[in-house]
Amino acid sequence: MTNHFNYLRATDFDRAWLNFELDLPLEAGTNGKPNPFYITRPGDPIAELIDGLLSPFYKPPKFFFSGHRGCGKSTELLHLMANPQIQKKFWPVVFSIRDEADIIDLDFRDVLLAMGGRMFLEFRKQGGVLPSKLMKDLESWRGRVEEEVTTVKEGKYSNMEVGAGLEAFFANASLKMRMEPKTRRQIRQVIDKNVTGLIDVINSIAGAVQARDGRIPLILIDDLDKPGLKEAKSIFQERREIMLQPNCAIVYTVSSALFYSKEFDAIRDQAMFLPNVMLHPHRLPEQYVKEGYETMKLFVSKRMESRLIEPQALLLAITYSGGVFREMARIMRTAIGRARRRNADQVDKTDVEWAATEIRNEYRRILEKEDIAVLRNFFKNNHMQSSERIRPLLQLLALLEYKNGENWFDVHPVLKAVLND
Amino acid sequence: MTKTACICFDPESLETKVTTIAEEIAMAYRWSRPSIVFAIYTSAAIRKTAQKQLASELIRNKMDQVMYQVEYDATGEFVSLLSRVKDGNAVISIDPINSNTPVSQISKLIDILDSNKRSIIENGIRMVVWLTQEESALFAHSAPDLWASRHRVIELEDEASTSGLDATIAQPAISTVVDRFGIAPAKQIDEMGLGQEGYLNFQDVTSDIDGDVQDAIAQAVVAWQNGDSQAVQNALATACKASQASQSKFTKIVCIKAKKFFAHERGAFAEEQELDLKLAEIEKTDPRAFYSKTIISTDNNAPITDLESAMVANPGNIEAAEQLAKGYEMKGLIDQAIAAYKVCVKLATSESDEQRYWSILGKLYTQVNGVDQAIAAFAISSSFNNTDSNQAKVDVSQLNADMWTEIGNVLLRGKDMKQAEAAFQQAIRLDSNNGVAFTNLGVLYSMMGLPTSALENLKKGASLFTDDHKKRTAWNLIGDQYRMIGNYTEAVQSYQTADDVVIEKLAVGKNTLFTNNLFSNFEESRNK
Repeated sequence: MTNHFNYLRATDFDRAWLNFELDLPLEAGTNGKPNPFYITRPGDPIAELIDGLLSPFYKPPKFFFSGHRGCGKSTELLHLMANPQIQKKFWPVVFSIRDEADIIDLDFRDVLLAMGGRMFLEFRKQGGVLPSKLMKDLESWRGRVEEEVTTVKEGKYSNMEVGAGLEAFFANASLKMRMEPKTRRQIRQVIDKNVTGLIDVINSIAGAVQARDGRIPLILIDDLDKPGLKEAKSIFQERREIMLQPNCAIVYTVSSALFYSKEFDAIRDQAMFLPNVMLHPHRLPEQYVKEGYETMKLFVSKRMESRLIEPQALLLAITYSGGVFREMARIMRTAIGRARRRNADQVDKTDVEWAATEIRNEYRRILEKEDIAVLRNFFKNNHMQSSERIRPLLQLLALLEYKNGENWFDVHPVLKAVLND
Repeated sequence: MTKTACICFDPESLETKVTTIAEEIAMAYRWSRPSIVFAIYTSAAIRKTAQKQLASELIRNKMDQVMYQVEYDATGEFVSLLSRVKDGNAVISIDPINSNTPVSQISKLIDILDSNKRSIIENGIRMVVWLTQEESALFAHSAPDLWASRHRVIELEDEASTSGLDATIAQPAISTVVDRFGIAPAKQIDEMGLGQEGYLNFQDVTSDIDGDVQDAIAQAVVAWQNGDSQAVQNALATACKASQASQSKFTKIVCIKAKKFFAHERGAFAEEQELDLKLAEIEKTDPRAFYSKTIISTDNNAPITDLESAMVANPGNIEAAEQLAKGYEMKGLIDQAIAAYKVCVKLATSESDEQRYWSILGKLYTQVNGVDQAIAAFAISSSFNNTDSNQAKVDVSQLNADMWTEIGNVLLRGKDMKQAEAAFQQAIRLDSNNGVAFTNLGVLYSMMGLPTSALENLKKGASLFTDDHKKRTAWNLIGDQYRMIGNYTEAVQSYQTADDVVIEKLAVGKNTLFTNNLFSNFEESRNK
């Protein structure tokens, strides 16, 4: 359905409501043109990742891409994929791990299988034909898996033409990995017996793609930041060597919790963090960062005509957003809904306050007294403190992180009223 | 920089809030976009009212509502539901959740929604998830990513009750009454929407307490919390008057307890002492005083300990044995209650008592899913009606319709559909006027996805009930079933029929017990 979305600037509240959809994917336009709603962030942090990918390399690079929830990682991945220079050098495949595996129970084997499957299916979709020797090897590998995991086979494609059987196998395996815990375990056990066999499969497909297309496969995996820290550590720390083995460029999304874990230091030079947009300087909440406000204003003005919101209301909405795009969209959407109900011509400050109150009440229900105490401390000194409560607060966006020189933290602006309760 | 000053807004009515949900959904439908709405409710009554109103609003917007129940989702049913509704005008209403739903079910729901988030968003699915406040917190912490994708969270709070009591005052008052006196004020429970949970928790406690006394004491607590001492005295006077007219000693005990509490609160210690003596006098003459201690004491273990000591001192004390068994049952210690009732069986001095104990045992076994033992216990209980002394006591053929219904209920809870169906049908064969059996058979067919059979049996059940409360609940079930199949016109009609059933007075705990929409006649059997 996202293919049918028209990225048109809204001239009325109905369309504006639509344009502030929270999870609207910003697919790139034709010929590598950026999406009409896309905005370049202050400092263009994604340029660092693009530079890293475009630099000469001996072995295809692996990058770890992180950022807090709602800061626009998926948007940036789609934008990066459409970058003409990236397109020229790489054969990009972007997918969400949610479509391939169960993020509640995710394992490194699931990720590897997903990479191999998606690359193969994408190659076939584009009319690619793998060399017969490679096809035989792949069929043989498939046969070994099916021998032990009969549920993947389902008996329908054993007589299919070579290649079509593999397509069905990967599609079916992905479905089963996502939906059937029992089959998932069986497949993992089979892969366990010969992990290098699966890496070989991935590398063979990558090699064949490169040989035919001339470009290096680049796999961008979104939503890998969604599994819990334990699962993330088991994939990216305990199995890091394996995850770096595939012979193609890869951008793994990783959670901020993993990004900031001590064990991640070893690969920090391959990692980049997408920061929230800073709206005020560190420890100076009464001041504002013009560049940040302008960025957020641009975010709004690309989606709706400026006359639909009072300037002061817009500033207030930006302040309440904390520089998090998804929160900005949430506030705008709710405020627009109220203005629409009022039959008003413009969103005013009361509409924005209304939206902020609704969000504040949501947090009131889910935060405990101890959480409020932690937030109060952060509000006072903005510094990182050691508390096991911090991670969930960051995940819930009750606490926001900013970067300018050193990292610092602030409370979600709508919550500041709660701190005085 | 614009400073963020907090502006206070007038609270919106429930109707406005439901309209907000409906508008959100309608906009998402109009643009074929996803919408995840969390409706957070503070009571079952509010939830139900809001759901009915939302159903009407959706009909007006030409949208269908599809119910999804996580507890019946074996595997992948949600995924198949998503593919069914993705291109249509349906809204998925996720309301498997009530306070009886174990945490594991909520966690299962969270997992299902979390792992299908992308599919929900990409397919433009519109859904309303009905949660309590605690469940919403669990949701946010367990699935922060899904929570971040919420489009709206609307809190549906209780408004002033029909009795004029403010919800925020009345609800704690009810808790106070229950905690302090061990009684459930029927009227308020109904009004405040504690609904089924309220009845379940308190039905045993209140079965012997006069309803007027309960109501008056609740009014006294509310007045006390409002600081209106005159109103407290007036309400207590009403309670005492009603208690004097009552034949129930237990009612009198509870009334004195209440008076004692308020005497203590206003520092009238002489009066408190006097009431203490009065209480002790009555308790001596009424064995159920033990029972009242079990309920009323703040030290939950003390009375049980007393009774256990009494049993050790005199193992033949049948009254203590029964009170102890009831105490265990009250506290949910079912295994101990079973053991204690078995002692009662041994000590029983009359056949009618023994029959009663076996019947209770049958019911208790159903609670621990001991179907075989339940059947055996019910059979023994039934055998006392058999004049043929040569007949073996454990004989399934002796089970009556109510017992088969109970067995059906436990089988149904255990998801043993086939056996449950057979049990309900057997109950109906034995008593073709057994509304409970018909209704629960309807519930079973509903769970099995057989709406025609479900409606047929639910309607039959509703037609057989003479008890207004059951009749009303049955019509609500019929409404639910129509909603599940998307027939909203009939659903609204059925809910209206339910609302039209005038209930003069809800006798809490008397003949009415239903769990997860399952009726039980057990209390009736037990009282017979």
